[in-house]
Amino acid sequence: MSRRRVVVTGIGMVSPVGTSTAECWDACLAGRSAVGPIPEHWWRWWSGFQSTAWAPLPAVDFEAAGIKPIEAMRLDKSAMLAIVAAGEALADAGYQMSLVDAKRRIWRLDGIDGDRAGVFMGTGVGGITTVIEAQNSHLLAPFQSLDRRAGPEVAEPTRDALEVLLASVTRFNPLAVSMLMPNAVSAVLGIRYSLRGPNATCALACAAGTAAIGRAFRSILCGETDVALCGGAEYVGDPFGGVFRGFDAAKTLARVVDVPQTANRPFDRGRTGFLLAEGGAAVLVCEEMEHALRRGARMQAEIVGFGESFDAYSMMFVEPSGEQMIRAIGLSLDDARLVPADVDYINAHGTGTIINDEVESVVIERVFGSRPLVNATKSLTGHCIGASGAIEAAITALSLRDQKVHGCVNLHDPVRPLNFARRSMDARLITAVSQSLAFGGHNAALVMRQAGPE
Amino acid sequence: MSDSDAAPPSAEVVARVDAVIRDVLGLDAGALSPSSRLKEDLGADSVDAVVLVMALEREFKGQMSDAEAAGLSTVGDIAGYISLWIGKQSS
Repeated sequence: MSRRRVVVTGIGMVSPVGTSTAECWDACLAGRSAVGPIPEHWWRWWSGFQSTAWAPLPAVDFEAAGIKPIEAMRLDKSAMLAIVAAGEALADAGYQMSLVDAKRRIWRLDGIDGDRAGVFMGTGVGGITTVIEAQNSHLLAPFQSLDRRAGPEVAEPTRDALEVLLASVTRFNPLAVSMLMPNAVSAVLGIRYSLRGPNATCALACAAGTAAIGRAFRSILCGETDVALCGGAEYVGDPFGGVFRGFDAAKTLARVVDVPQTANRPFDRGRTGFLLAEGGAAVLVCEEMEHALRRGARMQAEIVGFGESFDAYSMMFVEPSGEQMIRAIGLSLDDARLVPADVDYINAHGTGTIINDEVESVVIERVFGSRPLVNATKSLTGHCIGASGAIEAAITALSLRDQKVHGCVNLHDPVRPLNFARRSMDARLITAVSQSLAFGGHNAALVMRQAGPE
Repeated sequence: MSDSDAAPPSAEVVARVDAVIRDVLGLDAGALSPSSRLKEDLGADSVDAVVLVMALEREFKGQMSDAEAAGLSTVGDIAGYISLWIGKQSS
């Protein structure tokens, strides 16, 4: 029996460069990156941030995406972003849906056997914003009634900060646990769309989205499911900049040397770190090819291989030889029954940290040489952590569909003479690799092909 | 506190309370009457109850005590409670 095939029939995306797939893709092709100063109210006088820039999200119209204000009280922002992306992906795939439970906000998708449909979503930090907001309420509510008893001897910035903080204390959210648990996003999507097959969360930090799509691919390949919603979602814009500080204190973030717009520069010799994104989500509708053909769905790309490995080396640093990154890429190509010479385009992890880009560029040169086009979507979107691999897989699928690649912003003096796409261009693309690596030591790679039934 | 001598809630308060309850419980217009019991008649579960408190706090801009909220069992109870609450805020 021939191997089942897995195609991408729908793509949904929210990122700092846009609130829909079309907006994000257009921004990437136009070279419009997202960068801005971190919020003024983020405890800057206490925290001494080394980095002062991030990639903020644009305003997202959650109501237009079908999320009622009342639902926002029981969902972490990461889940709300995931719903926006999933709704867009399902509509893009041509699925109609009907409301079956108004209170629980549950829809049924026409033409899907819910028992054979799964959800595989990646996250880096789960519902971290809910954790921080709930603990803010828990710790500070008793002080609300003290009414500035500290008096004039407290330095003014501190007093102002305390007033802002105490004014922000609200009811401890009784739904906090269901909002902050890392599996919340996958569960929310499974409930919302009546998908009752495997429902899993990949907590693999910056490789989470890639690995989640890989697991969906394998689930369809082995016959466990016919359809899967897969990708990643992340939201780290907590009210106090606590998550930002975690990355900043670890000295991983891009420094503003000149102007904020040039701080994010993957694969450039002048890079200083990665630009943290406020959040983002990408969801792919992956489908067994016959299932897609039967309902006349548009196939945007095919997923043909997945591989992963683990460095077993350091929680924070890429293993310098890149051996396990090379092995993950090799496993993905073996899975696809392809060789490095078949690959036309690599959507690199490309964070902009000194060590990542150094090791990753050596790996690409060793495995692929300097023929395939290489770019880093993070040069435009910033780093969406657990959503980044999914956003990049989505961009890779769009590149294959439209036969175009976006450029690497701020890449002027490349770390190595690879075939970097410095600006957007048309390109003949049959096979592409989207690769990710992560804190902890996770490596993951997806191989995708231009869609076609041949 | 006895609300027997309180003025009945205004039509505006009743309409806003009805809208919040219907929103939380996913009910159509006309599904509620003042005597509708949240749990027995409208199917509210314990999660709905806490969401309802949060939604009422947001709609009427204030904080309800959990003990007082626990004592409200019908749509009319809630409208009466909110009406008194608004009266206290404005007095």
